[in-house]
Amino acid sequence: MKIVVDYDLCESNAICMDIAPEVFEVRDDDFLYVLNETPSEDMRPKMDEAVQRCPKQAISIKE
Amino acid sequence: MTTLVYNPYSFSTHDDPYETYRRLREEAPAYWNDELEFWVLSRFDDVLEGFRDFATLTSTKGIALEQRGLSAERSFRQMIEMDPPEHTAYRKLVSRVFTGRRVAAMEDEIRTIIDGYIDRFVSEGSCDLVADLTGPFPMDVICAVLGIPAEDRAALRSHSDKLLIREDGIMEIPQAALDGMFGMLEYFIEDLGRRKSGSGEGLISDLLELEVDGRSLNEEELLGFCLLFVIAGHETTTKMVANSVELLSRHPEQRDALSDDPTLVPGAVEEVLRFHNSTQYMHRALTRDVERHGQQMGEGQSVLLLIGAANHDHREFGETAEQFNILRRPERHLAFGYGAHFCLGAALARMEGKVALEQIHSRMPHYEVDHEAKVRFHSSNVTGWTSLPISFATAR
Repeated sequence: MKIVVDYDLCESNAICMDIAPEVFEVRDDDFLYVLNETPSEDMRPKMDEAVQRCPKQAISIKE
Repeated sequence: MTTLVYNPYSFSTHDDPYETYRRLREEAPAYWNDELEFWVLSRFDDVLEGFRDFATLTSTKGIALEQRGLSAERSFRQMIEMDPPEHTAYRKLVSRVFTGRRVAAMEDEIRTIIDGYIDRFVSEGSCDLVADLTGPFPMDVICAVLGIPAEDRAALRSHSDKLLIREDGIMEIPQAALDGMFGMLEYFIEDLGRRKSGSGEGLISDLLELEVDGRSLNEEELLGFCLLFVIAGHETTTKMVANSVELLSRHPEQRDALSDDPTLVPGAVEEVLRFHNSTQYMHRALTRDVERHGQQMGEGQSVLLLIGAANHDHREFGETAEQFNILRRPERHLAFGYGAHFCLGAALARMEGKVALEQIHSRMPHYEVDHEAKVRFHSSNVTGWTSLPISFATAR
């Protein structure tokens, strides 16, 4: 599983960081950084939640 | 059983919309109003999908029912009435103005503004919450961001209040609302002129430096941003805080819990947004024929995405969906919309709501609302109070 962020859509709402701070980090420059682009399979429920709850639909999962 | 009628201009609907909303969700999930010619989607999944699918449900015909088709005649252009990819280009210009970090940096300033208003009446033990606090303070906050001088804010607020006014059961925009619109346009045409000749600060002056498609923003685009920021930044937040107090006064055990434990406040803000959101619906228009719940919906027809109903849907929020509970902590709701047009000011609105409720519950605990004297604000898609007299025992 590979995490893909569309940075044209991302507005740093940081919902994803609340769900999985080990994968998503919004830093002081107001940009989102993906700390681990290929999280392990046991992270999938959290990644699915991040995809679903991002209000800008900026996150997707590439298998 | 009475015939199911939903008219967003009906004053009796404004008084208690939720039974009508429940019937819409259960009896007519794709409801057609034949008199005013619009569809309503009211279930959570349908409203969310409606916001997501901008290719089918366009924003370009206006976001309130009575605005449909008017945008072509206007002297300003707003990104809230555009679809991607055009919308994306404008949104990117301002998408990082209200990030969580920037809003967090404004918390102290917001608290100072709110305390300044509370200081003026707290010793009296009573106030009109709208006139004395929730009306003026969000305008101060958004004007501080935009760089609008303090002496101009009261006039701007009076224009802004007027332009959402609607009459009972009637869709046509009343003269008072048009006057508000013209008053505000006139102010910003002059203001932009002053700023172009070098005076001024804040977000509006920043906009003058921005480019879209390799050129500066023109006057109709600049006016669009100014109007959008003032109206969206002021009206919905004003309504949200007064709605919170009115609602909490009818749930005194939850009101007192907030005074005892301020850490419950962010959850209370979220529950007010879900349970009684100041924005009740958004208007879209169909770009193609679709079928929903067995109904044939035609290209060009109006669709209301009924946020207020979706946020009470038991399919999403379970059997207690119709109950107000500040401890609920919903995972998601549609108060700020979803997708391309997700409220740009969501973080700011949450911060203003949090600080206002913290200060109200610490400085005026155990307040009571005069429910006989309160006056409802009547609009098409915004719900709130024109006057909300409250009294409180403690003066601190």
